[in-house]
Amino acid sequence: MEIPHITKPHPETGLVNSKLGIWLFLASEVMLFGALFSTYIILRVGSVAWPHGKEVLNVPLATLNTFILISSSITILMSWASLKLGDFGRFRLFMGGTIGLSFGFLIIKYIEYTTKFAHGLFPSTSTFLAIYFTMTGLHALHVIGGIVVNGYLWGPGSKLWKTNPEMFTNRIEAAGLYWHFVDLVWIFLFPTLYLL
Amino acid sequence: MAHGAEEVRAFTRKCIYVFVALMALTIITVAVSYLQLATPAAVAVGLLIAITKGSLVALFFMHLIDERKIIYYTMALTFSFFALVMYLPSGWASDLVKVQPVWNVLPQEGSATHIGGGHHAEGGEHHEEADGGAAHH
Repeated sequence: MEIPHITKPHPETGLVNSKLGIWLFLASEVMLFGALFSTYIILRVGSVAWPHGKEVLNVPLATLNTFILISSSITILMSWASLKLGDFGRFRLFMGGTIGLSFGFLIIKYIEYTTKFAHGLFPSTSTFLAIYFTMTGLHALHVIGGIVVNGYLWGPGSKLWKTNPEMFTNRIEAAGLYWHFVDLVWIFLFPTLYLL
Repeated sequence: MAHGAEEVRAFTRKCIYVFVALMALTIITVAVSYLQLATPAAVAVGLLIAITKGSLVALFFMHLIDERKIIYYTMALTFSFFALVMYLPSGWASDLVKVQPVWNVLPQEGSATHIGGGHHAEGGEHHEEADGGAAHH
């Protein structure tokens, strides 16, 4: 069955359905992370003592991760722009770069987590670490989800370019919107947990 | 949103400037955190930079600067609920202000364990007679 209004915009919304769908999904994601940020505020305001993020966490590694995630945002945008310009080779290059940077982010996160565990710092150790692992863990799961989708679109899913390039470009745009949201969440997580 | 080849090229050029700005703002955020500002000032500056960075990502990378009205309506509705969720802790904090003085009198010898909002300190029994007025608020 053919999905309606997936390449040509819907007359009512002026958008392809996939784009409206991803924005609605992102709206639900805003509320998911919003609830966690709200919880963070309650826990921090209500606690007698709260550690400075810098004293417990590794700021240089988190800063490097911020650079990596921002870089991956520009590479996924360039991959979409390449398709708009009809250059599939450059798309593969930039999307491959995005996936590589995403793995880089996860490797650094893995180093951060394992270092904490080696020092006996677990989510059960303190309220601060509990909210730190919850928020960054959920964010890392979103990164993994992004890698799965972007990996599919870079590999087997890219066959669609030959048969329906417009539909494939729209898929990359939707994947890009999700990825920018993942970047956006990190932009707020980084100062909240590490710097304040 | 950009469509033609020239429009796409112009859009990506803008996004590269945004990328450079985001990198610079990240460095500024980290640098400011080492200035040893008082907590309220540090939170204000940190959030201001984060909001600026977030706005740049949303406006340019996510194309919100040039989008259809239905997307704006959807996000406006979402952010009104998001603002409500962010406001909720302030209500909890004001309740904390009421509870705090009660906690302060709890260690007094022979004082009641009656605290506000139906809470019971140290799992003790709640006796109005034994209160002695010490823990009233």
